[in-house]
Amino acid sequence: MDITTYGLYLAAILFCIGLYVMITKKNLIFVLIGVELVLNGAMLNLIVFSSQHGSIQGQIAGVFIVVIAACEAAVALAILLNIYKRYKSSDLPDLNRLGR
Amino acid sequence: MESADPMTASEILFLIFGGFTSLSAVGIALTKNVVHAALFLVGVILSLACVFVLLNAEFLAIVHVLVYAGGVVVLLAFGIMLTKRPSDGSLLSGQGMMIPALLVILPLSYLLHLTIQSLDTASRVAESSEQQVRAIGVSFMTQHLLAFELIAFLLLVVLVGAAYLAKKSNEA
Repeated sequence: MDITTYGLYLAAILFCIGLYVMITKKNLIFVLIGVELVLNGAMLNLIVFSSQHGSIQGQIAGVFIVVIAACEAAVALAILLNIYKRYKSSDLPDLNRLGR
Repeated sequence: MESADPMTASEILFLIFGGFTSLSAVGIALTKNVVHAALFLVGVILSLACVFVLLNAEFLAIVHVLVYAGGVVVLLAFGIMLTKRPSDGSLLSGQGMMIPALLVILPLSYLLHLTIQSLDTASRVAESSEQQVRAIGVSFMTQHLLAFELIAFLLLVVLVGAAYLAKKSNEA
């Protein structure tokens, strides 16, 4: 077991827990936190391989992932505010009306 | 794990910070309180930044802390504050579909375990981490110029789009 293997296992753990949170939790903010965990796991994978091969390409992809995660959080929170205005709730099972 | 081979200091540090990251992530999965989950996310982010430093990615560690702990978590906190009222106990989130989730997670983690075991992780290139920021900046402006411009455009669109979505007067 070396540091690359540890890193890959940590990335797998983060990915799986993020997926679990996304599936089980009913609140929209929890689902967003799960998405952040999944993105962190993917980014850790890139960093681990970048470190193993001694190249910076993985780190550049990691910077792009950070930017995209920030964009996703901003848009998702704006959508969350609109959902809350319309449904008076941010729980996913309550979002079951097409009209008003 | 072979006990004859003593672990290096960076491996021990990696296990400590990695363990802290995993524990915080498990805390997110177990807690029902949204505010606690956001705090656990801060724990994940900070210890993951330490892991990045151990993997020779200092620049990305700093960017990670700045953007995630400074931006994303603050956005999540605003989302919690704007949609939740602690007085009626709505900070708690329900849980459901545990069995289907486990049916997805357990085969997936076994598959990932098999994949990691089949990789050649022993070979490692010793890298020099000096001039890292310079190398990343030069690479942004030469090799990855198209992606860089696209991400800049995406940031602009997200800025405008989020402001449009969140504005007051679109209840038609």
